[in-house]
Amino acid sequence: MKNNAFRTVGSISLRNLARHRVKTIITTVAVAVSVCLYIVTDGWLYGVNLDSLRNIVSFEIGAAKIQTKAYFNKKDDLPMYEAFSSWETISDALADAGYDSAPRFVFSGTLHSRTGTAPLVFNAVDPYREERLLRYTLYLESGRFPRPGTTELALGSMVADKLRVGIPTRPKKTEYTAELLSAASDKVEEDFIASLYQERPDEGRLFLRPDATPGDLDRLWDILARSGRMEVRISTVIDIVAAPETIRKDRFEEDLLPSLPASGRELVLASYEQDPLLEDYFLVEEDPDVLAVLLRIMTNAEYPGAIRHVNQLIDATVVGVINSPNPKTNANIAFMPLDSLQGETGLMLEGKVTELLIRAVGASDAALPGKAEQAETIRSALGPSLPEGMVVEGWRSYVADYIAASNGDNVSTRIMIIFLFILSFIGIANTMLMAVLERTKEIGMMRALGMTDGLLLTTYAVEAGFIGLIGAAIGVTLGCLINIPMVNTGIDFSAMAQEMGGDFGYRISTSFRSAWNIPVIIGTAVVATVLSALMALPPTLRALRLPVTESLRFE
Amino acid sequence: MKRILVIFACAAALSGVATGQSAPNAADLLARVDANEVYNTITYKGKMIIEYQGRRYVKEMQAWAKGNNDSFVEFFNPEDRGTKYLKKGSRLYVYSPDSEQVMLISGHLLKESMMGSDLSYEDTIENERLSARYTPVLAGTEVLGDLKAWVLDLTARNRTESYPRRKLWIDAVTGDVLRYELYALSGAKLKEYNLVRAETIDGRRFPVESEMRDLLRKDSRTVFVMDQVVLDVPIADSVFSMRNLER
Repeated sequence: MKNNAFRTVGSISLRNLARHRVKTIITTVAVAVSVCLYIVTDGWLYGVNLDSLRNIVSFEIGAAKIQTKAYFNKKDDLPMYEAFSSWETISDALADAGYDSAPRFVFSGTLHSRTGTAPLVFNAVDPYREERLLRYTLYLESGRFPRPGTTELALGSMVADKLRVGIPTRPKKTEYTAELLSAASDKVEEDFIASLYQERPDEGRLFLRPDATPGDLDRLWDILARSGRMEVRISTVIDIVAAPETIRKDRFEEDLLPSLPASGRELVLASYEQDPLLEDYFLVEEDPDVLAVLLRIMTNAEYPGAIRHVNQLIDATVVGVINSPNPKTNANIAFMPLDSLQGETGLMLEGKVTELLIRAVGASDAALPGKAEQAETIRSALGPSLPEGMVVEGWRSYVADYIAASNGDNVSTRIMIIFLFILSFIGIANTMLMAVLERTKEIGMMRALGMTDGLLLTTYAVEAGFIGLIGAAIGVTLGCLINIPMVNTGIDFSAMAQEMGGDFGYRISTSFRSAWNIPVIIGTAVVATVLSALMALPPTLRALRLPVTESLRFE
Repeated sequence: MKRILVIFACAAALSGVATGQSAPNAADLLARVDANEVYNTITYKGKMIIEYQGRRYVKEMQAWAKGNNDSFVEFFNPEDRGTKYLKKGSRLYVYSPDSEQVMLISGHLLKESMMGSDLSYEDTIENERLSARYTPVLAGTEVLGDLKAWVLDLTARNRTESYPRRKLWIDAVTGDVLRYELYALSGAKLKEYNLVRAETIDGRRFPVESEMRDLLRKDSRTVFVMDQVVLDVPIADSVFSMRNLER
């Protein structure tokens, strides 16, 4: 009996769909478009975010970093005076626990080339360890990665382009003549350079031939390097902390003392003595341990007299240009060997680094760091090998702004798509309302013939559900078909990235690719079907509230 | 107190340098340079003429200073009208009329160019006397233009000095600093100063027109001209206050 009723409901619903073909088709198309749009957009956002996060881990940070707590708290200011030494001991302990690590000294400065200047962030790295841990070293557009013991630089492609360093990929005609052709020492070299570029007169530029071989690029690099194009100067300051030997009376009493906590004030007063004649304060403490505490108190209070900035100018040679899938490594950034900055011709590092990057040995680039690479796990693995005052922080701590902005972006995009979804279901509700109203007499007749209200309600819900199901099936099919090229190829935004200086939020520099988000695809189809079915309930309930006699007279 | 110091410093300097004939002691020479720059107060109107890559910008200002510690500068050329700087010790604050906000210039920002000139903010807030920070060595004599000058090579006493090395050319007759060069830790020359014109004000030699070149900026120089210089007149403490900066 029950099966029979369901069969009846099913056949009536299907017949109704066929009877009202035009309405069925229009509503089905609306559902299909909504479902397709949602699947494509979600897949795209999911893919872009996933790629961005992978790129952050593989090209920028690794899974975690070790820094001093003081550095981490002020990390946006790149406080080089909060660097730490003896990183090798920590690195050995990490290696024993199954982690690779790479030391870095990060500082800011200005890079001066023959033709311009640009503010940059410099990463002084151990080239071998860096190559083992991060992947940007594999994406050299031209040249090579700096070698240890040299003041060589690898630059991001965008800043190289801006400063006219490296091999230009699309030089203006004036640059081509004045800087490229003029670098040739004879006709053979001039012809060689000319053979590597093709002219596009309508754009007023020349373009490096895509079929130029690595050998060609190396030869061109050598020719240009000989002309001095790769010679640059790094202008920076070395932040040195030192307890001032003399502090003027007013600065001591008005600036320093009020900025300190009570305990710090006591120590400062005990460490300085006021000259009875000059009235200024002179440092009398000599114990290095006490001086270290004194200095910590002063730097915590950000007393400017304790942080001095020493001017430095370093001659360097650019040997490579990086163009990786992460725009951060292609923008205003430079990489150079850590060991070249140790002495007075560098930054007087004396073995100090600002951070130690960490990744598990053999970690997959395709996967985001798992439990084994969490800061907590690394901290436990290090145990007492992690000195006091040092912190292990997971990669997400360094890109909190990016993650927050990207989550915000996702929410706003999803809200827009959900509105589209709602609009299409309002369409279904409208169609069902019209359909039920038109069939009020028919409903009265069926009720008079003995069909229960429950069966009628089910009939119309199933009819709407069928529309949703067919629409969802078409939408899922279309969405998946669109997703295939989006997953495999994506949309190339490299020109836009170039225009925006390499940073337009996402950590992707070339193609924005989608990813398969199977739970969302299935969920969207189910939600579309169920919502469609539910849309039929309000108008049907309204019709069922009428007495049978009135339904039969309804015009 | 400060006056006593000035007298001592001048006396020490004059004993060795006044005639400019025999080779003076390097420390005395430097003490004289320091002494010449010590004053209780100064007020002046000035112009900063910036020539950068073929363009010329003129910044007009009025300045008040008390010793080397407190100073207040207000710009009144149309583009920068209302921009004010307040220096209190080693802290430098700027008030921008556009944002109507006071900002502390600190950290690496101190290395940035001040108002697009060849001077960095840090150059403007140096407090301590050179003789307290550098060890001088007399490197010989040179003729600059038609003036005989003693050449002093200064090496920083400790490694925290902003410019680890300086070179000074001091007029053998007047004691004016005719020229100086500032060097980075690596030994590379960063900046060059040249005296254009000095005047005697209240018995003291004063550089009223000078030129600074930041050698890292291409085709750039900044000429600094001081006008209506008045030394050692009382200036109210309220001039060097945050309230005055924000007003």
